[in-house]
Order: sequence, then structure tokens, then C-alpha cells
Amino acid sequence: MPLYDALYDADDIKHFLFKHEQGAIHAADAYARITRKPGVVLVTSGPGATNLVTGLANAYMDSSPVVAISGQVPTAILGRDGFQETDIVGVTFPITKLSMLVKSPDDVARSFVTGYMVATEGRPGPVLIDIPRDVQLGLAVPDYRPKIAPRASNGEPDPGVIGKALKILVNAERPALLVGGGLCWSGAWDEATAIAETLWAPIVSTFPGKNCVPNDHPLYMGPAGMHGRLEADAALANADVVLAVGTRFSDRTVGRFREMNAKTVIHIDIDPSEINKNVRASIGIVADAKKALRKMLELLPSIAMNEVERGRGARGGFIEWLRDIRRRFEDHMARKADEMKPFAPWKVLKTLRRVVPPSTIVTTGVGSHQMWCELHWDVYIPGTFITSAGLGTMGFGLPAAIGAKIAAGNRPVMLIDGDGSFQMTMNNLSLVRDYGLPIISVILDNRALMLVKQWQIYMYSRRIIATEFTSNPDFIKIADAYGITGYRPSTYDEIEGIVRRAVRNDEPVIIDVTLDREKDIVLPWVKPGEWLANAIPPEGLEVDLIWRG
Amino acid sequence: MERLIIVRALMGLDSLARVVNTIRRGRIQVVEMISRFGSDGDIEITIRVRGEESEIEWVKKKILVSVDVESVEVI
Repeated sequence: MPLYDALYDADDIKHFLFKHEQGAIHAADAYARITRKPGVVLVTSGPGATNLVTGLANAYMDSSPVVAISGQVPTAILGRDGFQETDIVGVTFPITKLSMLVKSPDDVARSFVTGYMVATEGRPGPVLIDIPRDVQLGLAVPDYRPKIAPRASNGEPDPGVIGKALKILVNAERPALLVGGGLCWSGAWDEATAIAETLWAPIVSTFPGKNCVPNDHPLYMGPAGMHGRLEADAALANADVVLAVGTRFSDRTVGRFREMNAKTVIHIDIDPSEINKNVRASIGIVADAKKALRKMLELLPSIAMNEVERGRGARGGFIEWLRDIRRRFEDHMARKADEMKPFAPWKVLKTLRRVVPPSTIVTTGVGSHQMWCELHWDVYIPGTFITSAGLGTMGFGLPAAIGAKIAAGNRPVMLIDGDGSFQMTMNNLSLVRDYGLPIISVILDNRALMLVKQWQIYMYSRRIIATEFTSNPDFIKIADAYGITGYRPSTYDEIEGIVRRAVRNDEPVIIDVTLDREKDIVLPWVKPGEWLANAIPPEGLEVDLIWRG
Repeated sequence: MERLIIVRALMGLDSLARVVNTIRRGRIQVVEMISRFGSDGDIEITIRVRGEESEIEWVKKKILVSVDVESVEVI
């Protein structure tokens, strides 16, 4: 209350009132991802604070600089089970970069300076600052010194190690770049594509890494892994040398570590604890991705350029083979789309991509719709695709779209969600009209928790339990209740028209796209613990993911 | 193998809690842990652990990325 009272006079701070703390922190998370500045969320003690837990864990997993401020009971009753008292600092230790209880008014400014510094330096991440009521009310002597010193490392790579890495890359038969979310935070997409072009190596991404390179770049093969693209799985599976940048080597990306450990891996990451965590690196480079890749580009001319050229020539066949897989995959999806009624997710995404401007920011929930986006949503401008990748938080999409719209101003923001995910946080729709945030919400509606159901079909002999909704609310009526126009289209042309008008008129819409839940199966799929080359392709598509020269 | 991990940090009990949270997720066995607290929040934590060298090394690196940790030594 005291902090809110102070906000009454703070005209230079924009405040948005959410309907639930989880929505507020997801919005702050998305705001941070768009602006690359901390998104701030302010909540009350007890349940208000505990409602942040999922959002903090989400921001932690996806390295997003959120600063969460929670109220706390007065210091005199701390630990005595006061009304709405929770040890939120203790609860959040494992899911924040730093969580602090501020015990004195004199410590408030220092805590905030420290919190902002920690959230943004090195690998970004969330911070929680817990402020008891009496501390909020006390008079403070301003002291802006951070409570801990900034980390000494400036992210500069060791040139000697970079040189060694380059020699390995230049002499590789089939090198591949694997880029993760760290590339975005570093802003290193130009450097990554320049390295790939020089080496003539395919670029493969993790799921969050999809947001870090223009997806229409001729060397980008897409995300690899559980629901990755076939050409990306093939590129990574058949690479002899992998230059991995800003990735944790998640099991979702590589499937099985044994085969990846047999490769020569050069791993660049700002976080030293990521090197050798899941995959053994032949060369580990603890550095900022942009600085490391720039150093590589600087040093490349000093490597015998005829070797570079020879390597490029030899790799042409490999790249063409990967592109052929892509062509066959896309042709197959186009044919199958016409068989899936009333809508095929592939074709819905192609329709949407055609209509919205390249700068449109897309957020997603978590589920089959998200995997369809991983496979078939083309990110033209890095930084425009916001999803919950590490934690896989259903309900992330709508509040993230709100946070993105707050950050993005006039740029269009489109939510692509599933009906299950949308229902988890749809109470935040009120902000669309409260604050004039015209978001285009597309619900891929299969009336099921489809991704889990897919596992039940493939791995549990179709023993389908607790994944099909017997009924959903009428999303058109939900839209109406929040003062938003809702549509349930029956053709792709209708979808195109609705979205085109919404973009042109800068108006919010909710589009309920009905899918056949018996056919909404997301393939390709690498089963948990399987190797990438064993990806199950879409039904009817035969493809060999082993390079045979 | 058995090793001593010596952590020097700045935030007293909070640092200890963070270190414990990291160690309990490592694939190592804790044999003994002793903490000594200074007057200004500084703390030295000595942990005797058993496990594979690579796991001990990962735990060391993971502790070191905590922003309140000044140094980690493995002996």
C-alpha cells in the first residue's frame, strides 16, 4: 500500500493493472524481451507474491530480466505467520538470479540498484525484491551503491581460443551452427549469419533460437529437436563439427546426448556453467556471443582463405541435400493441408504470415499450436517471436501479448494460442479495452490438451485420459464480454480478411479457428530420448535423414 | 573421489541457502558442511563432497555464477 500510494504522484511511471499476478509477470517478461530492459511487476505479499512463482521460473528458464517487487509484512512480525506472510525470498531462491528481503529503509535504493544490475548483466534473469511494510514507510538516506560488485568479465573472448575454434571449423567436412536464445540477448544475428555464409554452413536453432535469425535466410534450416524441422534435424545429426552459440543443449533440442557427445563441439556461452553441462565441448568459450562471433569474423582472413573456399565448395552438396528435404517437407504439408478439414494448422499459419507485416510480434501459449509455430511460423525479423520455451508455461501467450503490445507501441502484436492455454489466463483480456491494446488473438481450437494427447496416442497405446475437454466456453461470447469482436471463420479467405482488417484498423479481434482434434497431430516428432536422425516424419512422407554423401 | 568445495560469499544465510539449493541438484554426495559467518554478511562455506570429477566441476561452476559468490575453490 505505501509503495502504491507513492505511485499516485509518479506520473513518469506507467502502471497497468492486471487481473492476476501471473498475467502481470508474464507481461513484464515479454516487455523485457522486446525492449531488452527490465520489465517490472509489483505485487502484494502472501498470495500475490506466490502467484509470481510460475512467472519467475519462466523468466529464469528463458533468461529474461524481470524485476519483481513484493510487499511483505512488517519486520516486527516477520516469521510469526502474520496475515498474508510468505517467505517469498526463500521460495524463489532457486528460480531467480537474486532475491532479497530489504530490512531497512536505508537499504531500499541499494537493493533496487543491485536488482537492476543483476537482472541485466551477463546472462539476464529475474530478480525479486521483497519490501516489508515498515521499510516502505520509513524515511531513507539515499545510497545508490550496489550491494555487490558487478561481475568483472566484460564478455570478451580469448583470441587464442577463438583462433583454435576457427581452424577446426574451417577444416570441418560438415560444420553446422546451432544458435540458442543467447544469440538474441546478445543481438548477434548478423554475426551468426555472416559466419555461416563464410563457412557455407547450415544454421540450426533451438526453439528460442528461432527468434534470433531471419527464418528466410537461405542457410537457416529451422529449429531442431523434439518438434523440429526435418532439415534441421538432418543438419545437426550429420554435422561433424557444431558451433553452438548461446544454448544450454536442452534435451528437447538434441534428443539424445550420446551422439552429440561424439561430435566436435565448440560452445560459446556467457554463462560458464553451461559449458560441459549437457554436452562435452571440445572448445568452451565463455564470452558474449556477439563479441565472440565478431572476433571470429575478424580472425577469419588470417586463416588460409583457400582452405575456407575449398571447404565452402565441398559443403555445397550437403546444403543442397538439406534444402531438398525442406522442399519435400513443405510440398507434403501443402498436399496434406487440403485433406484436413476445416483447417490445417500449417495453412492457417501460412495465411497469417502472408497477411501480417514482417515486424509483427507473435506470442504463443504452450501446446500443439506452439509446436506448429515452431515448425511453420517464419520469423522475418529477429526478436519478434515470444514464447515460453524452457519452462513451457501454458497461459503465457495472452499476457505476453499484452506485455509485448505495451512495449511495441504501433507494431502489430498477434497471439497464436491453443484453447487450453488461452483459458488459463484469459481473465487478462480486460486489459485490451482498459488500456487500448489492440491484439489479434488466434485460438487454434482443438478442444483438447493435444500435445499430451499425442503422447498418449504414440506412447501409451491410445489410452487417452484427462486430455479432452467435454466443453469449452464459447470464445465468441468471451470476446463479446470483454468488448472485443470475435469470429469463428469457416474458410482461409475469411481468416485472411479478418486479420487484414484488424491490422489496418488497429483493432483487437479474437479468432476461434476450429480444428479436427482427431487429426491435429504435430509431426515430425523426435520421441523423448531418441536421436534426431530417428525423427518420425509426417504420415506419408518418406525421408532418410542420414547423409550418404 | 572426495573433494572440499570452499565458497566465499557476501550475503550470509541467503548465500548459504543459494549454495545449498545448487548443491542439492548436483549428482554429488555431501559428506560434511561447515559455515563461518563474518560480521558484515560475508560467509565461508566448506563442503566435503563425493562424486565424479565432472559433476563436482559443474557444481563449482554453478555456484560461481551466483551473483553473491566471490570465489569457489575445489581442493
